[in-house]
Amino acid sequence: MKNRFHFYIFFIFSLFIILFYSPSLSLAQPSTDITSTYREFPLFGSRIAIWIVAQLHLNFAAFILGVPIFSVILELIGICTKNPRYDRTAKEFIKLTFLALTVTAIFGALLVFLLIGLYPELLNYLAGIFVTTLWIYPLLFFGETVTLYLYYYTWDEFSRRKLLHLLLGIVLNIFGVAIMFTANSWVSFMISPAGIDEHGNLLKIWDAITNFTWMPLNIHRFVGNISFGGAIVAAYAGFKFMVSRTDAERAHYDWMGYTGNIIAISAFMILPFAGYWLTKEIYAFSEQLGVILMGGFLSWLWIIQAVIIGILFLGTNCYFWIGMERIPGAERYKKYIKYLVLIVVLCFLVWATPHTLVVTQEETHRMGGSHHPVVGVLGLMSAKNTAVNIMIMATFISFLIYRRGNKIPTVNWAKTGSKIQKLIICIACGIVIFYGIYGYFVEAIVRIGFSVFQVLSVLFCIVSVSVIDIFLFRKANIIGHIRWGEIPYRSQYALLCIGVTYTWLMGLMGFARSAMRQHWHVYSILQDTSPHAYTPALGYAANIVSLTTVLFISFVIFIFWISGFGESKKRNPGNKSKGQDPKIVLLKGMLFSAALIGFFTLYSNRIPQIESRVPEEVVVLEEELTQEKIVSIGKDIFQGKGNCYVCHMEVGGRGPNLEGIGFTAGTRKPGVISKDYLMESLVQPMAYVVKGFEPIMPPADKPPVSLNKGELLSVVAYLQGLGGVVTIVPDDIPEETFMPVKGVEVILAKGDVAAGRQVFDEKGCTICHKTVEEEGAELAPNLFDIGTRADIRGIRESIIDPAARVIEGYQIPMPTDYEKELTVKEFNDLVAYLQSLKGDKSSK
Amino acid sequence: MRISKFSQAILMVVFAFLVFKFAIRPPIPSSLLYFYMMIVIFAIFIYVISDTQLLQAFISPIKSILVEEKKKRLRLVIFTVLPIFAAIFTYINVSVSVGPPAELRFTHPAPPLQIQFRENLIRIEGLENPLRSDVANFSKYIEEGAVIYFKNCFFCHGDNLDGNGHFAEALNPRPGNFTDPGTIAQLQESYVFWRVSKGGRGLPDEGTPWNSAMPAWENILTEEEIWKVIIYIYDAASVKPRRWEELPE
Repeated sequence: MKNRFHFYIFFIFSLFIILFYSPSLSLAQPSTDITSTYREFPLFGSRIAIWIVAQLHLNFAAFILGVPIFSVILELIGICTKNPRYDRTAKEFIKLTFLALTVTAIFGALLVFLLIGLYPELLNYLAGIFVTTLWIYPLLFFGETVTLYLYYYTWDEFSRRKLLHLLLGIVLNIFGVAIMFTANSWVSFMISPAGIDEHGNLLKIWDAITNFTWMPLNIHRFVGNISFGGAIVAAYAGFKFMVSRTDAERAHYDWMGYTGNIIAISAFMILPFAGYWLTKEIYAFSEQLGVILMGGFLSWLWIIQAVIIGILFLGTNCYFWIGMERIPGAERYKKYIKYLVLIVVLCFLVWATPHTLVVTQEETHRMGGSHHPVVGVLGLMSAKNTAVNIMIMATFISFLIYRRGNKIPTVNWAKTGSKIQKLIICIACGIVIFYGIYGYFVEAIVRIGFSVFQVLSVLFCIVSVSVIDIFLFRKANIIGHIRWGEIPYRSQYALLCIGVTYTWLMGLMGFARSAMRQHWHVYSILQDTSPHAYTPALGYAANIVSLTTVLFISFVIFIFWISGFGESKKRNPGNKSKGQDPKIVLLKGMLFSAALIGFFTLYSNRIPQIESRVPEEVVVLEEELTQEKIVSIGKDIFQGKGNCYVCHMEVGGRGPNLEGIGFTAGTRKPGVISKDYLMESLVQPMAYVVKGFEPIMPPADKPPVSLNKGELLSVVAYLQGLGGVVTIVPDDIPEETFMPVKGVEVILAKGDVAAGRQVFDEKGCTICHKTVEEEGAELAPNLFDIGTRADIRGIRESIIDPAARVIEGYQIPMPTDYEKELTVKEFNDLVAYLQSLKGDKSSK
Repeated sequence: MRISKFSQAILMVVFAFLVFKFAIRPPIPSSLLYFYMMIVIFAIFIYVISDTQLLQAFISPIKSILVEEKKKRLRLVIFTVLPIFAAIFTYINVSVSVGPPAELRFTHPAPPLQIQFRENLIRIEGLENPLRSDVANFSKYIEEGAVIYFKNCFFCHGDNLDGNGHFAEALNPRPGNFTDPGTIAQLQESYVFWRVSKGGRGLPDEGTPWNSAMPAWENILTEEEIWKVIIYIYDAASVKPRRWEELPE
């Protein structure tokens, strides 16, 4: 013990040195303006500082809110089942929240200090809106702390008045939930501000609190916290299981891990639905915000999320399947596992298929566009909703077979009941798949509504099948009791995996919530003008998320270690053979977690990286034109409106490389100065085709490029600047430059013969024109062979301007108003029909 | 002879690879193929560890190769081949290829809240096509839109609105195919208005690498003309624009 003491002293001193080092740096800096909007955190900047502290605060807050909910549920189950294990675990966990509560408070305070110090304007604004809640919040926190202590310290005292104690637990949770709701109002206000006028002045605080995303965020976080609490508890139990030295301890921690996981996964199944609601409300608040979140630069975040949730689902299922080994009789159900794996993996594949694919140019060509005709279908919401619902179903079925592993029903309606269960599951899956497919055939707004039907059918299925299951296995024959503690060690790594993955997922979702606001502190009200206003790419975000996850896990291990001191140290030295060395387990667990976090980080860094930058202000054209200005406008047109650079690239373009064109333009053709040469090349590209290049360039003054004279001259000026002397002067640019050009040539499309024939009949052409070769008087030329007599240009001209080519010998002049009479489509169809009349007998 | 569990797993991976590589036509991008294979391998791993017997059956051939004396030769072969495979794999991964790197363009990036259309600020969010409510003149707008379309848009987007115009082959990304259910049918008309007005140049970062050849039509067409042509393309592609979510209250 003595030699360890030196180590601790050294450790604590190093911590102090680090702690004092960072502020000393900022003290060394020159004094900053006290009225500034932003200040910079030393060393690694404000963004990372706020990010890490906020995320750690949130993780611990989720833990201390989730665990009491978890404990009260356990206590209630304990009261109902009279099983003391539940009660013991519930108490064990409340103890863990004490230190976590302190850590949460520390990080909360740190977050506020950082906000005051680094983002004073934002905090000032938010405080101005939410000042009332700032008085309530500490009171709630006080209530939470007091009831937490009461709940824990009256545990044994109230052991005979369990219901009263449970009530205390419920009060504790009411405080906890109220705290979360209050904090959520601030955060959700930043996403979807309400209760203010367009300048951001407060109108009504209640509206500001109950903004669009407040309630869905509350529900999403509430459910998420329970799940998170369960996952952390399960991971803790997994660790404890592996270091347990007695069978009794092992049985206890095995059971605890199982219960934690069950609670985590039950809540987790509801989470996607809560998430849908939240997203729907975001869309309802602002369609644009929704698109940024789901379809914009964050859309790859959802692929990472899909991978993570797929891992969580597979991990949970894996835990159930391994766990079946300790259930006598469960081997009956082993054969179903492979089908469940198949279903989950198929759903996983669909769910993780990105909407926007990463493709090389060659692959794009093979697919005929950046959209894959088969896989692209899976990238849409209908397919993904279906996949996630079926995945939830499969996990539920896993749980069902796990539950009935050692049971044989004795009720006389056992067979019918089981059939009804299967029927309900099939119907629910059928509904999910039906709406998934039908969703492709309706408009988007209807399709979004379909997810509600899918969710409801799955929820209904889960609830009704569970209820039937409870009655079905009442007084069931037990083949053998679950052999708690006899689960293989690798199952505990599944629990560890769930806990770590969950923490990482929370970090990622924290980024999603914050990043969707892009360069806004308060969306569309208060803009972020700091150097950190841009939103980093996913790889960067993943690095920070991994860092916070590692920090969080370290803190949690620290807390567990500290709270372990109170436990009795009575150990049987003779029984050392069983159980692993805690240090080795810790090391293995850390390596495992590091590998997992490393994988997430690596994957996130390998996908496309897009930063969301702050939009730049539009530069308005100044009154006074200078030569430099013309050249720069020309460059803009070259790279922008003109799309010239699409072909005229530096290397390997479809058009010639224009480097040095300013010089060569004057030398290419004797007697032609560079200005005229370039101008002519732009408007008559075929005039000087450079050897080795296809004549594909469209005239720059015609659609689709449609540059006007001034713009053309600007481009010429820019091109002259490339290696030559610019001769264009501001006076060359016409006054009305940069205005639209009118009067462009019509180019027509190929029409439909059958439709053209109908036009021919309906517009009264048949009154004069015949289309069949026969004897008799004719009012107008017979058109039976017009397709051979006239070319397409002639036919068009004759319809629009009949006077142009009159065939002598006919009395009645053709009407001249067909130009107005016909639509473009009718005109095209008519021309196509007339072209098809080639004089052969079959065409009537 | 029964195939060992280990070989079964390998065969399954190979089978999945063949399916993804050759059964889906046109071929899927290699990035997606790797992604799918990652999921399949992970799932097989999960399946193997879910049962102790299976796990042991899976591991035993690996164990025997590693330790058994009579498999020494096989062991040597494997330990020679594995590094070579790793080397080839690494070489393929890091070697510079002649093709341009894979790129990601978001076909439908988030629209801005508002745009500057010549002198006016136009709020995109919640914006409806002003001409659509004018039912009396609707068919007139379609016709006028068609004229505008064939004067301006048709060169790239084609006469059938399928993105197969004259210039389509020369452009990357190819012009939008309006008959694809994933394009205008998914979007509000205001979105199309934004894209038409601002063109490829007005695409935000996620629409990059920016090389869409779409011109910014605000310089050429008037606001009303753009609305007309939008009416035309929806009508001609016979799809309905996406509606805005109806706000409560």
